[in-house]
Amino acid sequence: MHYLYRITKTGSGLSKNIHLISCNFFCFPLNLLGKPLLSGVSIFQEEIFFVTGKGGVGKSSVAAAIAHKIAKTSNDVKLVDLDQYFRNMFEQDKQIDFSVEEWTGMKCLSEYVDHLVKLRGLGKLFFDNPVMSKLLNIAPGLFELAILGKLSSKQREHGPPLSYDKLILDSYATGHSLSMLKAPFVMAESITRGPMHVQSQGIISVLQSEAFQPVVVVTPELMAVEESIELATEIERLLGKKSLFVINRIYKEFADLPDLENPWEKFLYQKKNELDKVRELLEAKSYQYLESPLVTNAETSLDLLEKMGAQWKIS
Amino acid sequence: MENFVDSLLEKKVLISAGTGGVGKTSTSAALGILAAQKGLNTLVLTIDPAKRLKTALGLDNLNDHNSIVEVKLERPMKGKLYAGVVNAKAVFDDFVTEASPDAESANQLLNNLLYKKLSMGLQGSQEFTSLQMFYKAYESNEYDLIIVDTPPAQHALDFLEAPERLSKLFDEKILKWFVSEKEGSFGFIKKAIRTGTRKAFSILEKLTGDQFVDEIFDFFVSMKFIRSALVTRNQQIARLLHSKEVGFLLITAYDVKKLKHAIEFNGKLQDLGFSLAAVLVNRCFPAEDSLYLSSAKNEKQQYYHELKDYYKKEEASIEKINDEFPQGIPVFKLMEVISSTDPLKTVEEMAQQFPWRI
Repeated sequence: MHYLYRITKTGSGLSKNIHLISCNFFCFPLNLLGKPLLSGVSIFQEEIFFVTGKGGVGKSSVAAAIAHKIAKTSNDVKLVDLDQYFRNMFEQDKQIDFSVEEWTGMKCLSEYVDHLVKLRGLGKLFFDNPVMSKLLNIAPGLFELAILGKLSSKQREHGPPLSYDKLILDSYATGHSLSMLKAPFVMAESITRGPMHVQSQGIISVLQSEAFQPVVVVTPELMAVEESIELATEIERLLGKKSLFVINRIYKEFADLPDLENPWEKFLYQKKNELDKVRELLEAKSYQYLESPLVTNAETSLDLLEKMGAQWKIS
Repeated sequence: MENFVDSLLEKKVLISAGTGGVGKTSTSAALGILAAQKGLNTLVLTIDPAKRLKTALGLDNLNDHNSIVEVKLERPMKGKLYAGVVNAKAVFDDFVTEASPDAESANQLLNNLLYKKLSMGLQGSQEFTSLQMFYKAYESNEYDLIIVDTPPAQHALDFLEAPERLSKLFDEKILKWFVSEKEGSFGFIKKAIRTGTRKAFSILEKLTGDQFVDEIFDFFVSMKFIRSALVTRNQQIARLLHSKEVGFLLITAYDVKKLKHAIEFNGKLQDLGFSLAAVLVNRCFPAEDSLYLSSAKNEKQQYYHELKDYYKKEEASIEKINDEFPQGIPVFKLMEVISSTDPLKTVEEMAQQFPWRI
């Protein structure tokens, strides 16, 4: 085995981390069984990763695993949590090499208002006003737009300054994420002039740019993957780009012939069968995908993330 | 416990609550099949079924106003099985039309730009429309049993709290600020409202532009006609939900976090005066020793034990949580079913796990 080490500072300058750059003896990236993945795939080149998936597939863990992986070769990596999911996740880990931020629609909006009106008092007046807070709750899509606005503020150079090298958003489950992505389009169509229109257009440009990568997490279940492909198709229609899929919670594959009389062997065989169908389906529709095993022996959260992303190769 | 399915099927309404991704739709469909086999005319109302399940149930070719179809399965059933998809926009449009005092008021809202494009993004609208569709189905008296699937939500209780949140959005007090008896125009009102609110509006205009503010306003004002109908309907639904004919099912997964939520859910449900008819724990790992028969020591056996140990650890924490459920609420485990290409087969396999003899 051949290892290269690089000593770098984390974005916050708090500590020096030793980052593993390459440790692979083999020339080609391999999947769990040693079969080559799509070679020459360059992943994680973008700046913003929008991670979604059906409820229960492990979307948040995958988002964190991506952050952890990217942090091996990037400095200022932010994992954004919309749901306080990660609040206690890393208690047992001495140090993580990415930062975790909690965002809410309301917080993003209020930061934006404060930034625009410049006088803190005015911002507070805005949100505390009972009529206004009612209207803010009624205005559909406003909070989603605020989140997307903050997400893309760096590229648009608009709004309170936010810097990062890579940002991974652990977004809502499929339905809600799709309406979130649609919000700037609907708004730009309905409101044809003024800041709302201009900002929505700006957000759309970033979503459609090379800086933005949608990631769809699935488990190896055919029906569920078909649904997720419908989602990815909608995303492609809106943004003109293909989502990156991550197949999560994969059972180990065994090369030998199964004894189908044995229920356990049959179970594994059926799982592998379904996994192969899922792979075929994704490849037939030209989706790139990563694979992540069902991890049963993680000691800490960071260990879990390490094991989940073990097979992913950043080129 | 053995006969909990029988007592479940004695209800007139079963509501499947739970967070997203636990198999609510499949479980609701499985119960629907059981009920129809027993001889009950059953309606299963789904929210967002997978495409294949939709096709299998015959829900593909639906237009706006015909969202319930009869499901024909291969095996003969004593009762009729119906399935429906909640078309939220159509349901809400119908509600607006019925609730408005006249066609002109109805159209004012239906044609409002923000309503047309974004109304389904309103907090609580998904939940309200599925409860509204269920309410109408109940009132029609055409079904012996209605099984209501609820929208996938972060919190299982959303479907109960959200509709009220929706009607609270259009608070009567706030409405008075905008609707004058003499002139209903925003311009007129602008002069009358307090400085603080006027300042807030000027900030909103700076933030979003005058066109957005006008549209929002117009939308808010147009909602005034249906505001009281919303409140009334929510009260009617709440009354119905409290009756003994309605049973709540909590569907959850074999996952410590989700089970903790389930306990919270039960607590909150009780606070609201409801009670759980049963808890269904989905996707349990079949960790029976009898599963593995061969004595050969190989990688597969090793893997089996790895997984079994992993699930045993989960199981231990799950058992602890299980004990926190009040006695008398049946907790039933559903084993993981390998989903086949025929979704109805998957659902039927699930149905067969229920301890109930036809």
